[in-house]
Amino acid sequence: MTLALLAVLAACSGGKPVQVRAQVIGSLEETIGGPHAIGTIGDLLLENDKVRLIIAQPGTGRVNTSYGGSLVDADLVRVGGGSARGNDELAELLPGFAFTVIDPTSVVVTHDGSQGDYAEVTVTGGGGDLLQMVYLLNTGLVYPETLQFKNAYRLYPGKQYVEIETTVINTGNGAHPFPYLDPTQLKDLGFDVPGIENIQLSVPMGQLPLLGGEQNLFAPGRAGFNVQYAIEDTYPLAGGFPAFPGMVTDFLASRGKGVSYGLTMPKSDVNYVNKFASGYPGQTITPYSMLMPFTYAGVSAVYMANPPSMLAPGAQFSFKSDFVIGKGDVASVADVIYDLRGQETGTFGGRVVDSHSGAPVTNASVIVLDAMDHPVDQLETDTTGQFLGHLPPGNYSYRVLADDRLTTAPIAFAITANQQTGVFVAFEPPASISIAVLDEQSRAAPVKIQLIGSYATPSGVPTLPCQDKQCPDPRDFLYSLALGERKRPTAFDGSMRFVENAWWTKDGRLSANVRPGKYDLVITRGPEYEITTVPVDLQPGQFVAQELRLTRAYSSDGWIAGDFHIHAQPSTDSGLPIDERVISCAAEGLEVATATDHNYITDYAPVIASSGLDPWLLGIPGMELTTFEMGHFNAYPLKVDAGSTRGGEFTWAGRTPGDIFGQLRALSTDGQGIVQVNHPRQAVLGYFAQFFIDAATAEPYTPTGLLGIFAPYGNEFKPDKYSQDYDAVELLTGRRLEDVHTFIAPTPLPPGPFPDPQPVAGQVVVGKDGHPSFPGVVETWMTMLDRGRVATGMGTSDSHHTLGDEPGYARTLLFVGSGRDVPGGYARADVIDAIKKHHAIVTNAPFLDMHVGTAMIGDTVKMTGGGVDVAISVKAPSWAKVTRLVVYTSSTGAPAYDQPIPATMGTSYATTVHLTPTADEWVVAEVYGTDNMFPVLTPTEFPPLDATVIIKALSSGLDLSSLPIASNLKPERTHYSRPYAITNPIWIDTDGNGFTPPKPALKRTTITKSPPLPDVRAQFDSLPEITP
Amino acid sequence: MRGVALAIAVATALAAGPAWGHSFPAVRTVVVQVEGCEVAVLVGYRPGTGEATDTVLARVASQPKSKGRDALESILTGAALASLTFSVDGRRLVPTSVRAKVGVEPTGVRPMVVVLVTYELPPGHKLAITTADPRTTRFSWSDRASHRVDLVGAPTQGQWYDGVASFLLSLSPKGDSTCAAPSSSPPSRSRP
Repeated sequence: MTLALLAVLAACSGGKPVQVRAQVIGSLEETIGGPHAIGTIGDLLLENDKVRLIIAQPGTGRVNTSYGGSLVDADLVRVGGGSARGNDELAELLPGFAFTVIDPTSVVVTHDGSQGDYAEVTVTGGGGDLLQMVYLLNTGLVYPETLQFKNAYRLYPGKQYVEIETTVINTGNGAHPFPYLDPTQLKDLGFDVPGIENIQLSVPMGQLPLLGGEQNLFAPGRAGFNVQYAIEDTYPLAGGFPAFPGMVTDFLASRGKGVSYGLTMPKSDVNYVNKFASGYPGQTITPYSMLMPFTYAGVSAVYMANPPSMLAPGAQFSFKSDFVIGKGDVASVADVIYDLRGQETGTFGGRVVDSHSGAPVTNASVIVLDAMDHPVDQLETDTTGQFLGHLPPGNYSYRVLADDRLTTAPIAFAITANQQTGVFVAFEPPASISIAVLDEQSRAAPVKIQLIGSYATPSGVPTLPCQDKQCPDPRDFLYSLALGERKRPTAFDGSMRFVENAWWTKDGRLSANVRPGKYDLVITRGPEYEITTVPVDLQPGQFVAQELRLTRAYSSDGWIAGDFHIHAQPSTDSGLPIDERVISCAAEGLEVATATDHNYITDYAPVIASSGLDPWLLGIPGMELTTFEMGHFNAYPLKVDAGSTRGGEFTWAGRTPGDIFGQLRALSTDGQGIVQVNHPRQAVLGYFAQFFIDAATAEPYTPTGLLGIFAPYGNEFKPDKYSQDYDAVELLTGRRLEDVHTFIAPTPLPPGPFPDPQPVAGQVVVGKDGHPSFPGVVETWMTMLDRGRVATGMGTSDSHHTLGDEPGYARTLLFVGSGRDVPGGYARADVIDAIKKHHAIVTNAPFLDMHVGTAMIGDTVKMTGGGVDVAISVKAPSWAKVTRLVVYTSSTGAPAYDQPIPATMGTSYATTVHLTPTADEWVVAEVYGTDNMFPVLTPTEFPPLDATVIIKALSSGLDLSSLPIASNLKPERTHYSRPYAITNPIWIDTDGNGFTPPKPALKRTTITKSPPLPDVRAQFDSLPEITP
Repeated sequence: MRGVALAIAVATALAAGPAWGHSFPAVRTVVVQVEGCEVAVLVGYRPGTGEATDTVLARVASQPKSKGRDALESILTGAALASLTFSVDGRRLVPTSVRAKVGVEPTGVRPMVVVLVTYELPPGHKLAITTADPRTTRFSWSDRASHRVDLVGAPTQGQWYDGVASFLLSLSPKGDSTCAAPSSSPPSRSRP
């Protein structure tokens, strides 16, 4: 009877239970949810009883990179399943062959798992350039035209990792060498870089992980959580080619909220780092070593394999890697990796409690250090304060970190194989604060609350140049990025002030635990308010309460403040929840917040409403269409398509600017939305930079020399494809004041060497072709004004986080009508209308107004009599005094007015500038200040990493000194933040027949519509007939 | 016929394989192309795996071999269009032509059909396409220079809409007297 029952049960369950499968996703219910989930119907799902992964179908890339076929979603199996419960934080993972990626022709299930052994999805395709800018390098190193690439994702039952087998097949008729060309051939191809004929190259292959903005990268060893700077630190140590420079790591992991990721490779004869071990002096090399040459804007490269020097026709080369999914800490990833390697381990566990109350400390980070004091693992405490992980036998120490407590000193412990080691940590408690703030009308207004500390002057630590001084590098004494501590921005002016913590509140109320110490409690609410400061002494375990009041600095009747470039969690490189984003905007005194996530249409309005911020903040749905190398373009207001996993459907890879602008307008709510060009002069990411827009003509030119070599080659980048059909352009993005005006060589010149031609102190730095090496946005914009092309100048923050990257700096002030700059007094249409009418001021704090008679900024005024009086007024808080006023009426020649502002009038100044134009002209006013705006606005302490770092890293050993990016003479990227504002123009019509541009008009092409959708009749006709 | 026979054989073999707890649902894609005086609709359809496919194949197998292809086309076309209704202001439209091509999906598991069906587009305010099976139907649409659709506020063209039971397009009520000619696809991109 029992046997019979068992037989029936076995029959009912289908025999052996199947715990792994691969399938095409047929409905959204089968996808994974989470902040970066983009998997959709038609993609391929791999899942077992532990993890779920989605590989995108072929086609153009959906969010981050140019092509489909990549691993786009990954998460642990969640109880209940379903897309609503997922927690995918992975942006993307794709194989990289130097800078070649797979342009897939097929993504199919090659083993569905029904046998219970494993499930497999295979991506097959040709080679595509990750960036067109490195096309020549790709051609010389890889020459993908005669190669086929395969990437098989293989998942086994019960495993918390997916095995990735990557294969390169020679489909050509002849042997395929790696590198494909020798250096002299590369030179003949056009890569005429001094020194290239003397170097031997290699072709690193591996994976390109984009782990997402929530994930904090971790590499065991010297780097720990300080991966970005640790990589940069290895560049000067590089042993030279054929080994590409970068950091060597045993594995890569991350720490995230509820999910973490890891990447490793098995022992292999084709290990790249081991092959070129002498190229990495001073770095620890293991049989599992991988190379990280860069991590930039969420995109990392992890190179693992070195192909054979020659691949015969039809021959293939494969390497394997393993992608691990953990529960949120590094240890849950490392444990899987130890298991994968068959490494002997012992367990390390314990409990962390508050030393005063005995209460468990949740989400504390336990950092394990090796004998060299380098972080090798990180464990997270659970709700009971407990943690548990595995470590290879050896001697270690541990430290415990929490954001609101002082980090513990290292305590030594030893791990023995197959033995348990336990510790008990009594963690010193935090202090507690309770703050209530009212504004000048006794309203519980949104405010920013900060604790400003002062550090003692450390001795023996490295220094950074800060303005004209040397400041101790805070990374070496104030906090440890390697341990995973948060950055604490300093004043960067030699004053030893730093921000211990900052909170953006929706109603001026705060209750928080904080790291004990003596601080200044600082309350701010954007540029219209003064700073309120109270000293506080916060002792461990003690409670301090304060009630404070804001003081208004100035009012700006009829003007509202908006930030039209901000990011939150939907962006790949931001982990900031949307509710925190909208509160931060309101607390910085912004009245309009436009959501502009990378390739994701977001609407803040529901979160603004649920946060109770409706009276303070208006949300506008939008997106930053983010191409890989054509520039970034904002569009708003946009329709949100709830049926799309990214809020709307659009494509950018291979598309011309006109096409992209047309798509953006089609996505707007009325087809007439604003298209805005972002950070136009930023290398690689800026539209003007990538189309080589001449500041003197506002038109594209064809670059020569090395600039030409690194220029994108696609037809969509041809000069005639440059479109001017945008409505607005960022004049000031974030704190990048150095990009506003064309770079002029300082007086005296800094030490050389300098690129040819020799720069002249006090004059614009130009390249061999005579073009400015670092052209300014404002100069280009003014040339456009001269030529009758008007794009509204905008100030934006491009904020991705909060502290150190505050929203609203810069911002755009818009005129919506006298008396209407109050809650409920303006609507979305008023905001868009003000932008279209150019009633806009770009500022990071000062309020700079300008009138000619009754005409305001953005108006055209008819001149009567012999001239016009331009009335200019400036108002500023005492922490952002202005010191200089400049007035421009032309893109060339000296400004019409350039005078200092008396020191006593830095917060309130008014003057009249009399102009006597002989022909139509425009007038723009600009103010500067010299004060450090800390702590309202934090400085740029470390050079912003940009894509040029990647190019420089991968070009180590070559003489790129003729490239502007490689020059010693370039704008200073680190500085504290100074006051700045610039108006949009008033146009002066001298002859009464309307404004006539002083220079030949720029041709504004009509908007290129998206390519027509395929005709369904033609599609049907093209299908093959099955003959009877 | 060899193609169909092979397809049926492969599909039958795969469909009869071990089932272990999951199946592929039916997939119906509907591309609505609005022209000056017609609506051309391209419907792609695959039945769900398992019983649904078995049913189709069984019905085909019950026909004489010489009728196999026609039977497969007829059954699949019927299934593809069965849940769809086209109407203008509530008046149901009647197809003016129906053409179909059958095949097997790339993985060889299921038979599939692509149907091109056209309707006259009478004057009216609202074109409605409804499906009785929204969970497995995806809509997309394009305007072929028709001047018939109110583009302001219309769903974005060329984009898929899932899980929608009624797909609505606002029309200019007076109609149009000309039909647009189809144009070619955009050029492809190549390396230099």
